[in-house]
Amino acid sequence: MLEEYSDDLSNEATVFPEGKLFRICFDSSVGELRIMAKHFSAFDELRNAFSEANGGAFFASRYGYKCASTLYAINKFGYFLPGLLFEILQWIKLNYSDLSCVAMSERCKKYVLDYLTPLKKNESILKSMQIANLAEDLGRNNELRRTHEKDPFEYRDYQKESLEFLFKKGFGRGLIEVPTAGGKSFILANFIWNIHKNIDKNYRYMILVPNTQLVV
Amino acid sequence: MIDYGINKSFITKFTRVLPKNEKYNPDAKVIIANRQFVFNNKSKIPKIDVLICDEAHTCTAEASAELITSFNCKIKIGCSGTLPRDKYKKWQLIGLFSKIVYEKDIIGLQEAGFISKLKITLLKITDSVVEEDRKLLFNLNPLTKYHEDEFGQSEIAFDDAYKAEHKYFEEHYKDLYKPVFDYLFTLSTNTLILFDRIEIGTNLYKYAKELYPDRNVFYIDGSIEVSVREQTRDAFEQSDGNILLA
Repeated sequence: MLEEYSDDLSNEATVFPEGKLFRICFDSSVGELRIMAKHFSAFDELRNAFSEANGGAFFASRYGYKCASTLYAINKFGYFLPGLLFEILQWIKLNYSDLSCVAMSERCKKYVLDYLTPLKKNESILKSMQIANLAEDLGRNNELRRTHEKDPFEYRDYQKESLEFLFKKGFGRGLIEVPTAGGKSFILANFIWNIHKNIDKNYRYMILVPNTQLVV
Repeated sequence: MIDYGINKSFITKFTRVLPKNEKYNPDAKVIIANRQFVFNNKSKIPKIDVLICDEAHTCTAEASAELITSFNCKIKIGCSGTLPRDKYKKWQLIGLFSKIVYEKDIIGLQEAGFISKLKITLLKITDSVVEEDRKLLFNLNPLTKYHEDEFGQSEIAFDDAYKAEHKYFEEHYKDLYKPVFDYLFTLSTNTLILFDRIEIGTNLYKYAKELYPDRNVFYIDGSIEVSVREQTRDAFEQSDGNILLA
């Protein structure tokens, strides 16, 4: 469990209280989380763990461009995209046995809970929520059963499971990987439907796709 | 989504070209939009509460990542059929959407009968010239065809290898591809051959026509007119045994 510390970063004693090797804070000016380490070697080790050789650098140099030979998910000042926080904490836990070496401000913790697990505040609803099927709720399946136009839209096990995970494990944030033709659009439509039905009827949704063909 | 029973007024499309009789409705609950268009017309978009990113693996590009970050909504999910396997791109996506909460592999779906099983035939063509060349420093093996000197310079080595590879292909493509075409022309199904350089594609196209003049072999690259592409599409839809090099 992470202890809470103030946001005072004015001197080393407050940045790294006794026994703390890492400090995670939220920089509202750039909207990113930042990690600092008491010892440079620890920071270097962490940063290297989230780095990869840039395969494209070789090809870029062929065309006269200069680019880094290594790509870092944490920049040299310690900033990283917020979603990476859980991965970073997991790495610290693996390498330092637990998270007691991490100092994290109350403000940062609030940000993390609010931003990275947005539906956590609806946990009681989510716990008792039965994943609904919009085709069933909106009468489309009844129509299909009557007309035999095609098979009714029913959940496959993994489709329902992926929705359960999006709501109860990711709390409204996360990535899912389902193979092509695995029914992703049905999952997405039902993700929207379940929020609309159980969480908030006034929400507006945007589905971003990479090209016009997928829109139309 | 309409096929699932959702009312049409619930959804709107936001893209450059809309079908006739359709207009963008900013009051709709669900906006389906393509990224480039949103990027250029963000001011026309109302406040969004939930962002869903389809084909999320394509969001690792800087512009796409910026676009996703620019949406202030907290609920953001990404879905993909093929999340990147290289670590950096995966971290970028995790950074944008948070952890991977669910992964379903294709084998499981094939075993369960939801997705067709694939039959993959690998043709291994060995060539004494290539085998010999593997031993050289500047050779045709993509893993070792360049080297870095003390200043990290590798262009000269790459250029040499590139030219060597090109020259090799020009001289040997008939030997390399005859067994491939011989195999493909035994198939009764339609076949797509993908090439990475136009000069390779045109050579292969001519060679396939030379080998099997009576068979339907088509060729498409960026310079081919739409009408020709449509003819190719018709042929593929209406008959079997066609080969397309693209």
